[in-house]
Amino acid sequence: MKKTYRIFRFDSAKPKQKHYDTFKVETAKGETVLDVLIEIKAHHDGSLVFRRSCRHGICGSCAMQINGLNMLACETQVEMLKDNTITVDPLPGFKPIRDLAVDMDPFYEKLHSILPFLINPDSPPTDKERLQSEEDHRKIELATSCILCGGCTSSCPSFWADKDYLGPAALLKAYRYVFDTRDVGLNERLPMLDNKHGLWRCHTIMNCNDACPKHIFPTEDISHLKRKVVEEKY
Amino acid sequence: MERGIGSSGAFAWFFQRISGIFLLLALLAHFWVLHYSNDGEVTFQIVAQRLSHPLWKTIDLAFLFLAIFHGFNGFIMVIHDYVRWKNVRLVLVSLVWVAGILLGLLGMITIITFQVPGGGL
Amino acid sequence: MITHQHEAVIIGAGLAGMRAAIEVAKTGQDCAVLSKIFPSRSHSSAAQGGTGASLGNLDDDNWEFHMFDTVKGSDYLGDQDAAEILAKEAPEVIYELEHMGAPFSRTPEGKIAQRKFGGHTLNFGEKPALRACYAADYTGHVLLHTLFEQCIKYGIRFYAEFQVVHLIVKDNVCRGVVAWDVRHGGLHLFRAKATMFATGGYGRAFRITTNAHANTGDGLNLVMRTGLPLEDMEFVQFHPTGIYRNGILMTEGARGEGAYLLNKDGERFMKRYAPTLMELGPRDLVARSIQTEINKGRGCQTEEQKKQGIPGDHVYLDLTHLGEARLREVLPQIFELARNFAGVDPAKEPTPIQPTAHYSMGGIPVTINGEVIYNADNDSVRGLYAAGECACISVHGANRLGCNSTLDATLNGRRTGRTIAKHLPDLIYEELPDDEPEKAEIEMDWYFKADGSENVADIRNELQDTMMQNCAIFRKGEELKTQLDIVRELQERYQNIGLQDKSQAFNTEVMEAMELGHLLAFSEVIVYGALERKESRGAHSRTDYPDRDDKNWLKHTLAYREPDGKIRLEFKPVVITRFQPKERKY
Repeated sequence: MKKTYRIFRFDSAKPKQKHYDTFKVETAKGETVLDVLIEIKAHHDGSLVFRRSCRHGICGSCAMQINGLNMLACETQVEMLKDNTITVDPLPGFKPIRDLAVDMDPFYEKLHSILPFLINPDSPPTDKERLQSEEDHRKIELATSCILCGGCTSSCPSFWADKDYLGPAALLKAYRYVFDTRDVGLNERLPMLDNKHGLWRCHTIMNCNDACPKHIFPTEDISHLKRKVVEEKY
Repeated sequence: MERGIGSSGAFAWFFQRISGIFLLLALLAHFWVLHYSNDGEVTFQIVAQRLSHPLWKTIDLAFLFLAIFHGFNGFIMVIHDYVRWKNVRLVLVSLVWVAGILLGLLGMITIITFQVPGGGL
Repeated sequence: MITHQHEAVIIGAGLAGMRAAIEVAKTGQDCAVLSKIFPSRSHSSAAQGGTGASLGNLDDDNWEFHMFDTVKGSDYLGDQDAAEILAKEAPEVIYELEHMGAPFSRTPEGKIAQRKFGGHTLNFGEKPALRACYAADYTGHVLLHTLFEQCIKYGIRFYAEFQVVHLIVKDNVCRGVVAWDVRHGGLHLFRAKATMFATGGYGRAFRITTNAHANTGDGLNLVMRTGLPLEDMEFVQFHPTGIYRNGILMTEGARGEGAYLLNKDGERFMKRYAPTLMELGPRDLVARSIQTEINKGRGCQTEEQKKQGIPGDHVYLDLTHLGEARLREVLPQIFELARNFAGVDPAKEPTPIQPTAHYSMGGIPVTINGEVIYNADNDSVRGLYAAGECACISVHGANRLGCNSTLDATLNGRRTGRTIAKHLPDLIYEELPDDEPEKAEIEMDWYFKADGSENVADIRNELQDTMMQNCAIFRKGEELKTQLDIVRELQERYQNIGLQDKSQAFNTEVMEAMELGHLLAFSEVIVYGALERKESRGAHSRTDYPDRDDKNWLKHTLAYREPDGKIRLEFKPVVITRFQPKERKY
């Protein structure tokens, strides 16, 4: 199957020369957009820049915009895309560095800001685990499968409008800890969550739910967080 | 990143929902009172009499303030989401505030000072 | 060249690297972690099925059974002092991870859930043990993120997207590393009192592999280039169940949950090879069994192969009898992977699989405390440490058991971190030899000026294809000789590569070329070791020497690269304490 790929090209050293390059690439059944990018880099243009690592949707490196939707290139099979011309862009909302690679630093800084670790001043039992029921575990289980690819935050109109907005990924991580029965750190996280650029920026637009390659529903978890914070405050 | 300056937005978020619920109920009540309570008869006299009652004045004031809050708070959220330029945003939000306050005042004066023409019941 | 100074510099931000960093940071000493990708992208996240520890939450397990299984699994090449530590400290390490917040799946009583895994048994081989502590089927992912988040808590300094180019070791004293800032371009010198490698495995030397594109074994070659040895490099584990044609991992936990392996006749062929444990045999045995079925014409065929009369080259992993609800609950990732990458609905039809290069048992030789050694007498290099898959302690010997790798990485990462924390007060910032940092400049210059006629991707493809053909599950003297020539020829061709991208910032073409250089260098060591080891043991199976030869080969190999480029082998005895080598049956 031969398709045309329009790929966004950019170099932060020459920001005015951004453009699209077009490549025609033959793919076999089962091959993914990442396979195409690797082939382009190998045999068409060695200077094409993109991030990739695990190639099966667990490392979160290759999130990008494919035909206008945020996806993982490694999980997107070419034959599933109906169009004959496939356009590949970097994740929107983040600052591009080169071609498909964007600056993820602010994304990680936000993650850091919500204190993404277990907060519990009580010392744990020695030589055994803290108990947690299966039901309680299930509340956070899906949220713990987040791979930090950035697809959700990058798809969020609230984030496009306010670059300081925490975004769905960081809020999902906050949910994962606040709703962990072993954690008691809500009050410490409150200043970051209950904030102009925090929780209340989420207007349940739900783009994040569509963008998530792990089928998590950040909007739902953010709503749980909002309720929790309101209960705490009023 | 600037954090924690001014209100967090929690109250606005919460009160948007409270006011929303009130407005929903109030609209239903309004609909019923207006069209069904007097066998559907709507005359200036009936409405005017109702509006001169202190309880109704209170209800209508609440209706006024919550509707203005709900609508204009929504406006401000839309502005925050869609207007990228800080100065323009500031101007627009200020305009919303001014308009909200003016409309509130106007409504308030109308409701409080309203009297049944001809002086009474 | 920009110079940084940190008391401890750790290269690699997977489970081992970050676990060690936490241990150093806990003591208030200064620690930085360099990683060529963001920490949360590290390949530890791809570990699926679980982490072994004899918690005994669901059966009567104890550490001695775990140790025995590890030693037997290693085909008695594993050092038993290391295996004893691994089995003994495992429960403590797991509880610690849980206390850090790792979201393990739970038993009905709320304890950490445990499942069966290949080669793990109760009572020295009697029946399968429930030993692998899991979080659905993305255990590695949650452990990696838990450790990453702990690193954030301890304020550990990360240098993400920094590729180490050069390790400075002179007179058996380590003095630091030089790294390339991938994002902005430019070399950075890191002076350190203690340097630790936790750079992971090298599955990318093979065509069919579970490993990430990043797993190019850079650390191994960086260490070897300084004249230090690599241990047991000939032992490469093939995981029995990789998705057909792309090798993506289908966890052993699937078989732990009860999945079957079927040949084209729909027969559970493992009964011929491991009558007691069946599908839960150790990986080397199961992978060989699958390959034997395929070689004997009992492999499954695709529609295309049936039409053209080509013999089948894969078998089936059958999960259908587990039911969709159970699959979605305990193996959600497997469910997705089968759909996305094999195009099958695992609840309704079997998934085509084939053995896939998975884990490197060999690596940088270290003591049980993580100090890198430079000879067979266990003399260690001052200020240089290693842990995780890139290290060879050697706990996995000739074959690693499933769910022992995430354990090895966290447990020995922790031990090594503690060693570093203990040593730091006595270590100093050693003097830099005059010409050393400049070697990195010369090397980078070479890449940026490379304008030969050879294509990096083509050389890499040829290496991966031929390694798969000649140095995979079953090996033969002649094929290995051929392969050694091929690798050396590819090394020569590599000298004439051409690169298009000349920018300094985010030049991934140069990075890939550098990684290929490493792949070519240690692949030669793998093939050389495989050719020299004239026996079959664990994952190393020679058709021309089909038996284990304890008389001549119950020993580790240490491979050195001589200044003239040739490889020289030395040998190191195996540490045997509790369990004498016996015939290995399952």
